[in-house]
Amino acid sequence: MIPIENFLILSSLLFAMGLYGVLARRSAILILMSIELMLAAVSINFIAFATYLDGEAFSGLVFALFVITVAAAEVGLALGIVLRLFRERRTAYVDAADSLKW
Amino acid sequence: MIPDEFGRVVILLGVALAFPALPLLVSYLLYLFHIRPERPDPIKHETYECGVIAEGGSWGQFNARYYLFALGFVIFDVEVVFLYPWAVIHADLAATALVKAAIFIGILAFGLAYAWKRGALEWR
Amino acid sequence: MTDLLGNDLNLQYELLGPEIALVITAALVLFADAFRRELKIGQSAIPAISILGLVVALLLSLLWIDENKDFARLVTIDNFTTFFRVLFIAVTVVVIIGSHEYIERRVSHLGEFYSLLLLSTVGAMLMAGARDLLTAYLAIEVMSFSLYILVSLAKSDTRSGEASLKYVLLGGVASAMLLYGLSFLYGVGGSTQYTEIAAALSDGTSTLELPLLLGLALIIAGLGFKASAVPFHMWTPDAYEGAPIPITAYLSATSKAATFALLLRWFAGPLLPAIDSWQWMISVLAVLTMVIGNLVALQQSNIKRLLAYSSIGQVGFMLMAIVTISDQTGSALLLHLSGYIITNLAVFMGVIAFYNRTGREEIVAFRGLAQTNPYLALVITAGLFSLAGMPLLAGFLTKFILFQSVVSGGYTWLVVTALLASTVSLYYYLQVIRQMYMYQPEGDASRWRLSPTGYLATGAMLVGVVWVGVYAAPFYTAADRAIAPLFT
Repeated sequence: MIPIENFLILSSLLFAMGLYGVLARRSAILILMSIELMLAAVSINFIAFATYLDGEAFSGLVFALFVITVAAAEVGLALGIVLRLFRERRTAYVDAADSLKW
Repeated sequence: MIPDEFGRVVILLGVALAFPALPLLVSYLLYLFHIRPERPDPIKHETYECGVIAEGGSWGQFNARYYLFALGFVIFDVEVVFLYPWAVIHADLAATALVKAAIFIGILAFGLAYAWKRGALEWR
Repeated sequence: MTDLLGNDLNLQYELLGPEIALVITAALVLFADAFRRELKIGQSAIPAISILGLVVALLLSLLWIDENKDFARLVTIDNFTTFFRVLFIAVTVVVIIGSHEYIERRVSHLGEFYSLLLLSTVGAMLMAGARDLLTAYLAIEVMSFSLYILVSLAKSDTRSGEASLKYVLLGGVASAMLLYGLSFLYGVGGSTQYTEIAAALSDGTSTLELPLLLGLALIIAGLGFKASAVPFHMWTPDAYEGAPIPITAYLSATSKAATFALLLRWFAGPLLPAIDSWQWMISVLAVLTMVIGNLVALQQSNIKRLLAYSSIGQVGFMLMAIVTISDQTGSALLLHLSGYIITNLAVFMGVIAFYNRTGREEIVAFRGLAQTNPYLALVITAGLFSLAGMPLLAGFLTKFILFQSVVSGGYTWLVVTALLASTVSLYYYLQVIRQMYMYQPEGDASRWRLSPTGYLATGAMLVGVVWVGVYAAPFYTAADRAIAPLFT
């Protein structure tokens, strides 16, 4: 049996990569892809915990299914908004979205 | 002996790497021993060697309309995730499970009908 | 019917009556809007259908007063849920009535606007009722996704799309962090059910200290974003400024209250056994939020941004109640939330009426409003004074009870900070009031009147502000009864 730590390390690496991408990337599309990485880490965690700790109940596996669908919906929604902004500004870079400042 | 979980992953990795590497290696060996002739041609360096000649670079921009259709596809595609578990065990469920799945699909169909009515499915 | 573990599931669909009614109404609204020409109905039929659906949902939620049932171990229907259902429905009704004129003129895609408003109300209601992490997560996303789109619906305003983009990207990151935290909570608690997590945590937290701590930090960061607590508040002023004003009002009321409903459910339920691990995190968050929110508000020139920072400051006050969580602070928080929502809606309904007339939202544009429209100036003044905590208005009484309960919870230093921050807030609220009363109007100084719906919404909220301020007994009883199921 592979120890559960391996899965947790994998997921935390994925999560950290996603978080880094969110902070470092300036293109809205790449930020969205980084968010997807973070959500993939979440799914790995849920499936690992479901298999190791919670053998008879499926709540962790079901959670992973819902995370996948909600992530797809989220990307769809965000891309729609990016497209709208692209039509107005001809760019998908978040630096250009600067008319709102504190 | 059956290898443990990680052993299987390593075997899979090896097979996966061998698949593209092996033909290249064979081709190179045939060339080394002068069995295969060498006739360079610029056409052989095309992205797709046979079929339509590619236009523009691979970093060219796509029309934004493609993304809208791709989005529509992805959303409906992912909803199927919920139908698989249902399909696997629906024989054991009460008859109301069928009704519930129908409601689920009905909601999706409503969304599709709405997008249709709003003209989101037209190539404009 | 039973689930895979053999638990009996209660599938009484009438328990979810209000939510089902609102979803059906949302679909009807979309349908009616898409086929408006074929059905030969006017534009104002759409808000009418929405209000009708909301009233039905209100009546259906009143059926369950003093009940304590659950739907399929996923949603609890108790007084807490009923309290928030009624609150959210009322907010949506007020927003729809008060912004009728604004929406017809300045919002694109009317059908989508109303149906998304209804759907986000459904999400908020389920956030208050959830008793399973998965249900809670889905409810959060139903509310947030609707809001992401609603923020982007301001017609011919480029700030709107930009605000929405920032909101959706930061919101996505926040939900990913929240989810990652939830996955650790699931690992530690071994279940997604609130009750079972609470049982598991009170058994053996010590052996799993690290994942629990990590999970808690991530959960608090994610929820801090949704509640716009400093340092996770960056999206708030931008989203508030770029959104159509009715949506700004709605964001400041429903999305905030729903997040606090969830915080109460979680921190008084599954996370209560781990109180030593999260109490200090929330108190740091509370101090940062009330200090920075109120200080940055001082230098705002746009009324929507000013109210955004003022609402951030208010979140700091409310977080104090989570730090010292008990039935006493819980009920004080519910009371303060209702008072704050009524007050904030009074201000926003006033700002919407003003914007309909002038199309401006800078603070200096309010110059001389006391002369051109004394009634509207009175409404906005009452609201701002109530936000600052003046006696005889809602804000004073609810804030007093909240602060008092936190003191008796043993966190006097938090309340001292809150009082200082509150004093700062008085300054910027008075700045707006000064513009209205101490200056001559610029340009056109003729008197003007509100639309009938504008009078209805502002009048109702003005009455509410004074009513809570002088006779809060019914609200107090309601809050007490709503919080009781959480602490039994």
